[in-house]
Order: sequence, then C-alpha cells, then structure tokens
Amino acid sequence: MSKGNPDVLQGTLDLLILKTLARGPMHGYGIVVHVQQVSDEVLRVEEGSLYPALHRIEQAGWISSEWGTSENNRRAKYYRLTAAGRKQLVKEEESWDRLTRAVAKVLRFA
Amino acid sequence: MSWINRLRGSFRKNELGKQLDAELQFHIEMRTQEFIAAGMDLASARHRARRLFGNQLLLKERTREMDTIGWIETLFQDMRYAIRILRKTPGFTCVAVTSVALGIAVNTTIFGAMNAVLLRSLPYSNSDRLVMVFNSPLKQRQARYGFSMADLVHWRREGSALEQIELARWGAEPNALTGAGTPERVGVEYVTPGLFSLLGVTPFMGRMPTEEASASPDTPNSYPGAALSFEFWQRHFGSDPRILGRAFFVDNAPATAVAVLPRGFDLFGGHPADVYLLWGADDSGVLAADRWLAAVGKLKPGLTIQQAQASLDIVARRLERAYPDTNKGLGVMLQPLQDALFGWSREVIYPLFAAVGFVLLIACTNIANLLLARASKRRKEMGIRTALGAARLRLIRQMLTESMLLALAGGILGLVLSVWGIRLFVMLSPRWFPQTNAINIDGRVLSFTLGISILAGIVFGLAPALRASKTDLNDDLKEGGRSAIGGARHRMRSALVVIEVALSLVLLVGAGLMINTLVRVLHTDPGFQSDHLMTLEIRLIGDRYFDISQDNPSGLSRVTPQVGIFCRQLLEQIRRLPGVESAALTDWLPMLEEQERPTEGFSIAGRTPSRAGERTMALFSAVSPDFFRVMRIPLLKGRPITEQDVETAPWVVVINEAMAQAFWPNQDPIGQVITIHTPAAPGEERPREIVGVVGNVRQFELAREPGPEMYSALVQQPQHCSPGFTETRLHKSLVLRTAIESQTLTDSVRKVTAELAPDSPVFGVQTVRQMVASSTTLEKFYTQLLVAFGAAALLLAAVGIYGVTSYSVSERSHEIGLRLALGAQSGQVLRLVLREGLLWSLIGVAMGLTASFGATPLIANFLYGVKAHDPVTLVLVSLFLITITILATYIPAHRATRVDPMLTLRHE
Repeated sequence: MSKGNPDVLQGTLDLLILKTLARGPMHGYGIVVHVQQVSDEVLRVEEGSLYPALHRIEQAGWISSEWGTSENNRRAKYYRLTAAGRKQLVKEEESWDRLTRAVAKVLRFA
Repeated sequence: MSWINRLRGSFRKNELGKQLDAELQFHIEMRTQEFIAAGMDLASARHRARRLFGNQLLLKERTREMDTIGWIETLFQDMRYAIRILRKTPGFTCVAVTSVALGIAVNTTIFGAMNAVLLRSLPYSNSDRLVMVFNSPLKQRQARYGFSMADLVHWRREGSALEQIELARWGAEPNALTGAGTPERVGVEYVTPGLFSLLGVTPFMGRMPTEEASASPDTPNSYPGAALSFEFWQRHFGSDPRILGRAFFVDNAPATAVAVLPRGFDLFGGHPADVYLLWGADDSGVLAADRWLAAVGKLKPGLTIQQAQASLDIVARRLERAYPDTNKGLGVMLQPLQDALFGWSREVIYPLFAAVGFVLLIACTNIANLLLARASKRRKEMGIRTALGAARLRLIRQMLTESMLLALAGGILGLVLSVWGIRLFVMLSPRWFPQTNAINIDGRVLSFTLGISILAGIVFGLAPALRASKTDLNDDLKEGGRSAIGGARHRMRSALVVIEVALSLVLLVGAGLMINTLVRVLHTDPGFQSDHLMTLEIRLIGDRYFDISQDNPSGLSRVTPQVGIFCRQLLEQIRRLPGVESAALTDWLPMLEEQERPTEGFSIAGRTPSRAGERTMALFSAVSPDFFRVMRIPLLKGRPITEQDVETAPWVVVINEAMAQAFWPNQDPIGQVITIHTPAAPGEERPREIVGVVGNVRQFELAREPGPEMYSALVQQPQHCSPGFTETRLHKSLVLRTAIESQTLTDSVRKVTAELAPDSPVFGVQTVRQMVASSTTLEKFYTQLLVAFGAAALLLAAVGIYGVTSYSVSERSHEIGLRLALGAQSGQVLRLVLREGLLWSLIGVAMGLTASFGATPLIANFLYGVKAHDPVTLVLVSLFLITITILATYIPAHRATRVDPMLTLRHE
C-alpha cells in the first residue's frame, strides 16, 4: 500500500490519521476520540501504535506539529496535514478503495 | 529532508524525550478526565489511562526511533564505551596509538612529497592544457630531443593544434651579473617572452616586450630584456621601485630590466632562476638549428593530448618534406608538462612509498596482535553480553568502533608528527629533488591521512573483532576459561608475528643494501686525492678577455690572449701565498655541481672517421701545467702537460686510462695524433699528439664509472669559437693544495684575483672533500630514509614478538608450572619457549627473503657495487633479525622459568 508497505493495518492507521487531520489540526488524543466516535466505536486506535505512527508520518513530511493550547487550557501537541500529506491522503484513499472493492468482489464471487 | 531532521534529532535526544513525555502526559490526563466523567475515582481513572499505553517505556523507545537515526545513537554509545575501555588500559592505548601514529606519519610525509611533485597541478592557469613538445626520431619514439629556434618558427607557423608554443633553456645556469652593484653569480634562464603569458603569469611590475622587440640569442651586441625574479629584485636591488630600465651585464652581455616577476615564481619547479633573459625566436642565426631548448606548448581548448598529437604528426611529416636537411626522420612528441618535468621522480618516490606502506602494515599487525591478546582477556565480557542478548554483529561493531577510535587517534597524532616528518624530509632531500618548497599538508594529504587511518583501523581491527565475537558461551563464562579456542587464537597471533618478521626483513634488506651501497660509494677512489684541496671559481669579465665585435664573420667570438696571461699571473701570485703548496687551473673541475659537461667528438689520424657504431667522443678539459700534480692524479705513461706546452709549440693532449683502453686497446696510444672537434673557426683547432696517459677520475659522482677523457693545455686552444664554448673558456676553477684548509687563505685569493681582474667575480669557495661528499646526496638520502624505516619496522616487530611471547607464557604458566612441578629443569623450559619464538622468526625470515626478491629490484637503480639480491646482505640482515627476535623472546622465556610450581598447583 503506502510506499509498498505490506502492513495493511499500519497503512490503515496512516489513512485514518491523515483523514482525521484533513478536518483540521488535532492532537493525539483528539485523533483517537474522533476515530472512535465516527466509526461508532468500531475502530479503536491503540495508543501504543498511534504515537510511533504520528512521529513516523511527521518525519515523512506528511504532517507537521506544533505546540498549542487545548480546549481545557492545557499544552498539547497539535498535528496538521501538510500539502504533501494531502496528496498522500488522496493516494491512500484510492488504494483503500481499490482494496475494499477487490475484497468485496472476492466475497461476492464466493 | 527527513534524514536531516532525524540526524538533528539524534543530537537532541533529551529535548525530544521531554517533549514526548509532555505529549503523552496530556493524552493520559485527557483520558483520566474522561474516565472520571464516566464515574471512576481519580486513582483508578489514572491507572486505567496509563494501562491503555501498555509498556510505556517500549512505546517511548519506538516513538523516539522514528525521530532519530538508530545507528548514530548506537555509534555514540559504542564510542562512549570504547573510550571508557581504552582509558582503563592506558598502556595498551598508548602503544597502539603511537604505533599507528608512526606508521601514519611516515606515510603522510611521503604522500606529501608525492602530492607536491606528482599530484598537485602546476601553479599555472589551464595547467591541464600545458604540454612539453619534443622532437623525437620516428625510429626511436621513446627518445626525446629538444627544440631549435628554427623548429619554433616552423611549429608556430604550422602547428595549429597548439594555441601557443614558447621556448626556454632547460633550467637556470650560473652566470656572472655585473655592472649593477657587487658582481654576483646568478641563475640565468633564457626564455621567449611569450612564455609568461602562456603560463598565465602576469609580472609584478613592468611588462613583457613583444617577440619582435626581443633580441635573438646570437645577434651580436643586442640588448635583451630581462625579467627579474621577485626574490632577486629584493636581494640584489633592495626592491628598488625604479628598477625598470636598469642596465647590467650577464656574462659580459648587456641586458635591461623590463619586468619583475611575481613572488615565488619558479618556472619548472626545480630551483628558480634569478634572471630570465628574453629572447626572440630567430631562425637565421648560427645556433638556429641546434636542438637544445625546451618547448612548452598550450593545447587549443577542447583538444585532448592524443588529438593534438595526431594533428601534429601530420605537420611533422610536412616539415620533414620541407626541411629534409634538419627534419628527416624526425617526429614530434607531446607530453603533459607536469609529467615531462617530474615524471622521473616516480622512480625515487614509489620505492619509498612501498617502504612506508610496509611500516604501516607492520604497525597494524602489531596492534592486531595486541587486540587479539586483549580480546581473549575480554572473553568473559563478550560472553556476558552475548548471554544478555547482544547480536554477533553488534559485538563486531563495538570492537570495530574501538579499533577505529585507536586508528583515528593515531591518525591525528601521525598528522602532527608528519609536520616534522616533512621538515626532516626536505632537510635530507638532495638539492635536485623538485618542489621541496611546495611539500605541505593540503586537503588531498588530509584526505589521504584520514583514508589510511580508517583503512588501518579496519585492517588491524577486523580479525580481532571477528575472533572476539565468536563466543562459546559455555566456555567463556566458566571461571578461569582455559578454552579450546585458545589454541586457534594462539595460532593466529603466531601467524601475525611471522608476517611482521617477514615485512621487517624486506625493509631491513632494503636498508642493508643501501648501507652497503653508501659504504662502497664513500670508499670509491675518486681518482684524485681530495683532502687538503680547496677550490673556487672565477668568471672572467670584460672586453680584455672576450670580444665579439672584432672580425666576426659567423657569430663566433674571440677569446683574447689576455686569458692565458691572467692564468699565468694568477698562478704565480697564488703560489707565493703562505699556506699554498701548489695551485692549478682547469675549466672543468670533477664533481662540481650544476655543470653540464659536454663531450667533444674527435677523429684519430690514420683511421677512417667514425666507423659505424664507434663513437669517438670524450670529455674534454683544458688545464694548467701543474693540474695532475695538484690533484694527485697518477701519471701512468708518458709525460703530463708542462710549461713548455705553449701556444706556439706543437699542440698536445693527455688522455685517461679509459680513453686509452676504449680506442687503443692493444696499442700504445703515446704518439698517436687526434683532432678534437671543438666548435671553433675552421683551421684554428690543430691536430694534437697524445703525450701521456693518466689515471681515471670520477667526473660526475662517485657512483658513476669514469668514461674517456682528454686534457689539453689552457693555452693551446683556438681563438675564435662559438659563444657557448667561449663562456666555458672564461670560466676557471682554481684548485689549491694547502697545508691547512682555512678561510684566511680564501680572502687572500680573492684579493689577488680582484687586483688582476677587477670585475670578475670569485665564488663557490669550498673544499674538494665537501664537493665529493655532496656528489653522494642521493645515496645518503635513500640510506637515511630506508634505515629510519627499517629501524621503525624492527622496533615494532621486536615489540610484537615480545608481546606475543609474554602473552603465550602467561597463558601457559599453568602448563609450565606443572612441568616444573614434575621435575623439568628451568633450562628445558627456557628452550621450550625459545624454540617456539625461533620457529616463528625462521618462518618469517624465509617468507621475507622470498618477498625481498620481488621488492628489491624496485631500488636496483639506486644501488652501486651490490646486486639487488646480494647474498651477503641477505644473510647478514637475516641473522641480525633472528638475533633480535631471540632477544625479544628471551625476556619472557626467562620469566617463564620463574613460575612458582606451588602457585600453579594451588590454583588448580
């Protein structure tokens, strides 16, 4: 999937993070909460995977980070989608589409 | 740029860590609040929030990995650890670093010399386009002839592949400068004025005249322009700002200063001239066809040397047809300027490079050995680390980091040492060694040093690292750890010692051969007795002695009879000086530096001139009557030159033994008549009868076999000759046999000369012994360097053998203790250890002898009187090395006999 990474789950996590951040800057906790709510509690982003992924995606240049103040007046690190990240998001969405359609076809055939 | 970020991240780990902590803290607090809102109490809410993160340490570690470059962190870790380990064993670290430093220093020094001479491009603009142009016979393409003025004119017209072509004489020659302050002997180079623009050199002051405005070398009474070197302008003219237009005389010929060259200008990178006389190209003079000049050309931009060569080959064929008299069978050959100037020095530098390479290899072997010994002491440490999960690669990396650290420390120290090394090299190097002023440490030398340091680190670090990482847990962790691997380790160390001995032997053979050469050279009989002999040179200046204006039909100049009168008067007065036993004059003194002695052709009466293959050529000099007696050159047959051999008497000649053997092998040469082909007016050179045979004299250097030579009387010489030959005849060397070698005598000689010939400079005062000694500079230089390298190698090898033997003794102390306890005599133990050491050194010597057969031909050119495989040298050097190795083994062997058997048994 992304950059030939065979790890579907990791690719999925990247997609979820990028898509969430497409709505605007958000901190790690916010991303977890958002994914959980939007997916009707089906998808749960593991804290143990989230932060390594965020830092890796940031090093890849798709997101940038800065320190800001949260709703309840605490210092929090906000991530923001970069231009390169937007392009990456489009790519990942397309490949996700392809994947789900392919899986659906297989399911229908069987 | 992700990796730059991550690299930066690697250096600010602490800060990143704190930020990550804060980021996670925020997350945990938000969760905690969420849980509290859901009805949990603070403590369990916080606990649950934390648990969501699982292993927080691992999470942080994994996150941080994203922001940093892992191997750099590991490298820092390894380096910290390595420094700690190295500091714990200062003795080992010192020995290792010093050995590498020694090896690196000698390599850097020699590379520095090579860099200055062969690698760095010449300090001229477009130096890659500069070429030397030679005439080269089509049948013998490797032969190189110079250029004539006529050639220059032809090639300028036809050789379109060359943007510009200019001439210079090959290097500066000593001439007398008069008419401006004190007469001084100066180095004079002749060049065409365009040479400076070709090289891209702009004068510091003044400007170069055009070609047309410059006089030709054989136009009489012309006033060539002169470009002064910056240094000479400072020294002789005190940096006079109004120097331009000043007139002076160079060897009687007037010249005018037109320019001062930039500071440090050194035309051919040998020894800079003081004065550059500017000549115009002229193909009409007497000398026009003489091919004695060096041609420097600049290729058209974009042309390769091969393309230019191909294009000029065609021109050469055209010239061959146009000028069959001078150009028949003649081709042209281009050579890059730098290669043409310094290519020969490869022969000097490469063997030295091989030698220093050996020194470094020996140093590396030594350190590898020490590391191996240490590795076995650290077996337990490695075992523990492996047990705790360290990968083999990780251990190798750790070990390599250590050796690399050692190598780099050695490299830095070596670089510092090489500053002195370069100074020493310059001090020892013979005068003719090119570019000695330019030897320094520049970027290329630095990269070389860094490169070989790293290479050395890998060479000496790899084997011990591989060994050390091959751990056998069971064995290594056991207390005492006497393992089976010990044997293999031991074999490896012994192999390294063998290599060390072999390498040292090769170096020592080289040094031995050079010592042998030097001793032989110094004991060579020069053919005359050099002690209590002093010499100085006089250059006769002024119209009294030299005349180019009178009856000058063909550019020949006239030497007046005043020269002969001066010589007679000078000798009369000098002989009267207290302390002078005898005195003589000659126009060519043996082994005087800076002289290019010409050989003259001659024909033998009654023989058809120059039969095919027979070269009737010999060195020729004119001497005063007492010359042979003063020099103590033995008279073998007939009579010497005497006072009776005056101009009007029948002309005679004395020849040396080599000439007698070469041309009259089974005949008595006395009474034979020859005619010497001096470049004189027709008919002025008369046939000469051979009246005596004298012993051979080494004319150039002690290490060169003498060739045929003939001597005439000073006064029996033609009056009109070519300008070059006239110069020779106005230059006299005075030799004095004295009771004492003293300075006061020189002063009185100067005074006498100044009274007789006021404008003529006296210079080059030295004892003949000094002169003879300075003719052996190459042999001395090579001997000193090779002996120094050999000594370094020997020291390193001895330390290595000592180290390995003592280690093996300490490892075997248990076994030795048992032997002693069971009743072995200490002599038997001593023999046991010595035998092993001897075995290694014998194998090493055998390998070294084999290797030296391949290596010594490299220096064959520098040997004199010994063959490259001189058996005596080989045997002596081998014995010497074996003795040293036995000594190095003896100390630890002796210690082995002191092992207390009780201690060993108790330990068991």
